Amino acid sequence: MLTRNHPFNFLSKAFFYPSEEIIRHGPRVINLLNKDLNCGIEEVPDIPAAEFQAEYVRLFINAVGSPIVPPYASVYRHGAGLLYQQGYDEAVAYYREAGIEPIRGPEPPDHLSHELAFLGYLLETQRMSLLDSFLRRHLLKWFPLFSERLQGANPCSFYYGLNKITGACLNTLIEEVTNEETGIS
Amino acid sequence: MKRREFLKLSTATCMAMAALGTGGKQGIGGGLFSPATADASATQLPGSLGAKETTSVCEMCFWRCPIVAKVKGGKLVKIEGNPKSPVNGTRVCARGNSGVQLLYDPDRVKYPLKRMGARGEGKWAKISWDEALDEIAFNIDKVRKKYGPSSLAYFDHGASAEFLREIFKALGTENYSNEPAFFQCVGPVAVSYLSTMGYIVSGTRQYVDMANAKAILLVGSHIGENVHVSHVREYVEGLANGAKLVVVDPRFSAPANKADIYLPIRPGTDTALLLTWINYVIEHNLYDKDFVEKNCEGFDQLRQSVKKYSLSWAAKICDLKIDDMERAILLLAQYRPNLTIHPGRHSAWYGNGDVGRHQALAILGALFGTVGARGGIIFQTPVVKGHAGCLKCEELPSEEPETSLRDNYPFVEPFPGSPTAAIIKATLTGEPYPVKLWGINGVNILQTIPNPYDTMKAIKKLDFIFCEEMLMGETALWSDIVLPGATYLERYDGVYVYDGITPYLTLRQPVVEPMFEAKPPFWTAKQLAKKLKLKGLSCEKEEDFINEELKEAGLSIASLNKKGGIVTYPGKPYRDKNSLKVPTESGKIQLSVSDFADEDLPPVPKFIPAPAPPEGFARLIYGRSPVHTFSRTMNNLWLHNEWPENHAWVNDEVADKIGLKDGDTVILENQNGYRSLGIKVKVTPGIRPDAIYIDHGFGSRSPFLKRAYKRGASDQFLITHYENDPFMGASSHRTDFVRIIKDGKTLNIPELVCVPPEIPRFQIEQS
Repeated sequence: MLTRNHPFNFLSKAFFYPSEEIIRHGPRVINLLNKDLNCGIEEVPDIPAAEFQAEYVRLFINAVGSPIVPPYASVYRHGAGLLYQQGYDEAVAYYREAGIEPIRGPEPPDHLSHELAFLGYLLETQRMSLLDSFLRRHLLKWFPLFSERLQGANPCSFYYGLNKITGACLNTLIEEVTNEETGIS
Repeated sequence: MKRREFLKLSTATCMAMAALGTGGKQGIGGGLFSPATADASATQLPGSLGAKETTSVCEMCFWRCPIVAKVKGGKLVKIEGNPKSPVNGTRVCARGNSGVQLLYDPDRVKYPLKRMGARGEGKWAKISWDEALDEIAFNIDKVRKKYGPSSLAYFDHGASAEFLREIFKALGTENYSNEPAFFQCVGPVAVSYLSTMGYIVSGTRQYVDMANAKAILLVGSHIGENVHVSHVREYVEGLANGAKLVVVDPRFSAPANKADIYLPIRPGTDTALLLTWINYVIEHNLYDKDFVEKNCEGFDQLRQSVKKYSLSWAAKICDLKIDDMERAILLLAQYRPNLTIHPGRHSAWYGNGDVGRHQALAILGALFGTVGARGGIIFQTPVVKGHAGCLKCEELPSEEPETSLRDNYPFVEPFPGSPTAAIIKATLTGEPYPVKLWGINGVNILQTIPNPYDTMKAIKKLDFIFCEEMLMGETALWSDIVLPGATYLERYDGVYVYDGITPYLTLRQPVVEPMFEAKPPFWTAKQLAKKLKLKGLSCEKEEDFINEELKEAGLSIASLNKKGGIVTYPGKPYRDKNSLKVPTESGKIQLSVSDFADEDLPPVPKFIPAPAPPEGFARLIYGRSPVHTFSRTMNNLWLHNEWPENHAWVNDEVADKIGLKDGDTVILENQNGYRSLGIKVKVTPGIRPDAIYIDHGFGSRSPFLKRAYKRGASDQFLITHYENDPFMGASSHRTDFVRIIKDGKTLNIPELVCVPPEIPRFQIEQS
């Protein structure tokens, strides 16, 4: 059943600050997804919690050389890379169109984790037309820029793998949607 | 889309994801969403149309202009001046506009962070607020018990720092308010006016009436380059009304460009000029005899003391023309008493002699009878505001240290805190007592306090250091725990009153919710007080103490907001010279300060020459960029785009002799061999050949700030020799010298202006 077996809730969780669960089980899930999706990434070993968390801070929160890879749509959809600009507006508009709104939390709702979870929701609720628009007109406008920046930041094996797998999932999803629209199956 | 397996995930993968709680439904979108409720109609309108407006107070600098913030869909879209404000109206400066960029800067400190690597390395783990405050409380308690209360020091600046200050005060340290703003900036001018006039004519604000002045004297003040909106407006209004302007500055600054008479003085000789002018107005009976007789004390001592300062002597010392100096003082005298002798603000220049320089300005103002006159020095108009008892913290029983860090400075007494240089020395040496823990709030100590190399060494000796910061500047980089502070747009502060020429009362209040896990400083202080088991800070939330403060003015937050966020009052800035009574003990202006004499300090200012540059060097001088505040705004997108880096102003003849061209990138090297980052040269006749100027605050060494990092040169990292003012311990900032390195080759600065024998030369070994 398509709606239950998607990986987007996992990917969403994995792009947040690493919880104990992600530290403990995340590498294994990445390795399994790698096998399923044939991404060709090297085996991700278990990573000590302190190292895992420090790496997350370095990559996504406040890192030397700026937050190297801010995980917010706004940063990539706005010429100068500010928070709460066009990318944020777009994300919030899509959520609104789906009849939902982000629960207020510490992270801006155009965080990649929100957007991946939103994709999962669209799949679960079969809002395929909205999903298509969200992917083409928003998420895939900035995810490749984010992904490239993440790759360039020399991430540890977990975030390297997470990046590759997220890219593969998004690419496969957009292909599926395209095929559906063009009648290819 | 057909209902077929998407991505063909294996059972093992699905089970592993399920074990993580991510395989099935977890509420809407993994529990991150809820059904929509918000009315989105306002966000459909373009620009700031349909925005919710909230009045507040700017904090892009310390001037506190009243503002209106426009918010749409929870997002700040625009900041304007509060139209009801009598000082700025709808206007804000470039920085005021750019508050939006501070709020939404991705380089903000977002979560409490704990250092993982070495201090300064920049390796962090995100921790919870609870863990962060536990760690801070544990270390405070441990250090206090082991080394005594004064082993704790708190460096602070601005409104956000005030609540934590209460904590340090309650812990019993004498080092609870070591404002770099005071000990590197306004201390000497504050002491001089407090001693002469009985009140602080220049501290955070300058109480002068430039809008109604017929003439204005600026000595080293760069109004228009340091932009404080109402102050600049008053200055411009005065000039627009025809006020004459005399500017004394080694650099052809923005006000020099508007001056009727510009005096390009030799750096370090301003007091010589002022004392000569004082002597001249006395000798030529240009002063207001009636005013002096009625309102001043110590005239005879003054007259005797300044007799030796002649125009011909000053011409040699100051490298100015006799005729120009004379024209200037005659011009000023012509317009007394409606004359602004501007007191200046940043006054920690040379250490010895800084209080005297501003005392001389105060004396000149008094001789011309400008005190209480239109266009002159004005009086404050107190605005009623209550004091909330629930903000206090009960002080723990503590013994004062046997030797205080304040002991050597007799006129620091009215002010809290210890000289920052004394704290750094005590941290380095353990004498007269050890300082082992620093808390920092609202100040980038490495870009503010001279000799940051010593500051870094001192930090390495600390048992613990923490800070509250909005951006990851150098202070954060060197801290053990970094707390994410809410910006001024996300928090309440206290009630603000302005007691200048157009008094008002207003309030800083949040216009949006704090982003990420940033917290308002009141919340942080309250939680820390609880963890330290201190009694006090008992208000539940900010609104409680603010309403208590407003009550005495017959207001509440709600009623103040109904009135447009600001209430104005009639001002009483002027006094009749026949009934003038200044708030000194005798009610008279002190032309000679006997309290100074009691401490073996000169009661009447004397000229103490600042040593001239050593051979091959020029004096390093600095000032402000009009679109930046301290080192705080260099990472701000809009402001960075306006003014991304500073330039080294080099005299054109000097440049010609050493082969420098406008736009060349060079390195500045100071007399101790410390080198700047690369900086572009501005070749100009608008600076004396014996000085090199750079804007303050650039050349960030924090790689966390992606726009500011390594852009331009830091003045502070070139100030490694400083002297302390003997009155209150301010650290000097104009006692360092630089030469130029281009393409790896050292270029000595040729001496194009002779140094008279009365001025000693700086000896490099002394630093």
